[in-house]
Amino acid sequence: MLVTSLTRRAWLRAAGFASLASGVVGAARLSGQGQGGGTALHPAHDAHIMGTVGTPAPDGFNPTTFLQTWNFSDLPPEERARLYRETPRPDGTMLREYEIFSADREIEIAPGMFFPAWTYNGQVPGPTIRATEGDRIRVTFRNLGSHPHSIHFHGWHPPAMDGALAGQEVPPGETFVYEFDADPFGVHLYHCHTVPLKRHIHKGLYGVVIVDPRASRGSRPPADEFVMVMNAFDTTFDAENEVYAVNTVANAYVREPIRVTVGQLVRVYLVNLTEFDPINSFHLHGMFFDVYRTGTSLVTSETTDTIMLCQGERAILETTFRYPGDFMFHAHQSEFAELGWMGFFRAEAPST
Amino acid sequence: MRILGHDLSRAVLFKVAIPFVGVLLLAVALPALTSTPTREVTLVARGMAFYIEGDAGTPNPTIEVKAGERVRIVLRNDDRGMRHDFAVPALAAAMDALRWNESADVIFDAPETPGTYQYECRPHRIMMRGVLRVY
Repeated sequence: MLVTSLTRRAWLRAAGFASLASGVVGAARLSGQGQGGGTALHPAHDAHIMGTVGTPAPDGFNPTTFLQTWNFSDLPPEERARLYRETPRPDGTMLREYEIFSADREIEIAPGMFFPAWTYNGQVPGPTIRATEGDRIRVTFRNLGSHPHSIHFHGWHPPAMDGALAGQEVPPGETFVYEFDADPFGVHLYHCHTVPLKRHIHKGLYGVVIVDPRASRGSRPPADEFVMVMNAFDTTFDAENEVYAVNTVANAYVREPIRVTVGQLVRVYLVNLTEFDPINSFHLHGMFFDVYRTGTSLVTSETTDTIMLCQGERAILETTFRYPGDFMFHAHQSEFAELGWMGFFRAEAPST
Repeated sequence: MRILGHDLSRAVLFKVAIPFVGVLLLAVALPALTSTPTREVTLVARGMAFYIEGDAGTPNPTIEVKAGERVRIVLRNDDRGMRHDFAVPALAAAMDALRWNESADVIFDAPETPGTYQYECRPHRIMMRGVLRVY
């Protein structure tokens, strides 16, 4: 955040973000800046179009698929069985077993821009874990990376399962099994807790845990559900982020807006895993949403159009689209929005 | 081309020394090149596992080879952004790590006595490993 705007601008231009020299920008300039009478505009006003140019490789991480994937639900059955198994238990709860590994991988964070990430299961964010309150979660963690790593889960667990205490880092080539009950219900997170912590997290070692309330509490109403992780990347390793996003790829949901239906409840599991900047935020245009902080209550605490989250903080958001069309959402730190953390919902009338 | 001392020495280098070394290398490599492998296996590295090309259902399959036969393993790396290799450490057979979409091979002779040996991707051996069975 402290980098001068000049440096940022020069860097962004080099990185291929949209800024200048497009006919569309020219048209926007004419319509939006009409009273100058031919006066040359200063460069800042050329950047009327937000977003990136180009398309990331189609076989890489897919931010649209990630939105609605939990417990490896995007994989074909045999492949999924290698990474996730569920076994009913006598008390009606479920044993859920996960295979999570860390591995170094170059990931595409904007079209043509690569970042040497440390990943869980080759992706950033890592796979989303989803269980019902009271289920037993067993995670076999294998460190295939080049550095010591661990997994620290937010939620109730004994110290032996913390992954953050002295001696709990897992050296490369080693395995550790984390086991704990899914508790409390809500939206949580997991991340590497090996020092230097901010580096291990920002390199990509984090993911989301959704714990649904047990049936006796009553469940959340059916909705179109989306997992959104606010994250950022320090590509120059100066402890400042250059690219911001929700779900890793800058402006992914500008290129491919998130499809929703007018009148249908929408639920967002929002987690802030941005490093280096103390806070991040989510703002939705033209609408308001109900907030369930940490998701630990079935009663909303707040109705707003902008929510601020500290590092590691999270919330469930619920809303229903009234009108068809495109609805922008972005960090209300405008700088983050312009550096990639902006997207659209596209609401369509329900098919009859 | 001027015939000066320093040009001459370059000419010698290009016209004599390099071809000579080339022929020498060829002579050394010739036996390996001419002895055709009797067993060829094409593997794909994908999603932290090896697969025999065309069989996506069997991760890290057992590879069966006959005692004493010459084996050629071809590996293609299908994991974008990740590096993989193939090695049978007990037989000192290994290739350099491949980037995404790269292929390479390693040629080695199966031991004369039946037995099992671990093959692996060295950076990811705790997940990417299987059995080379010599029968």
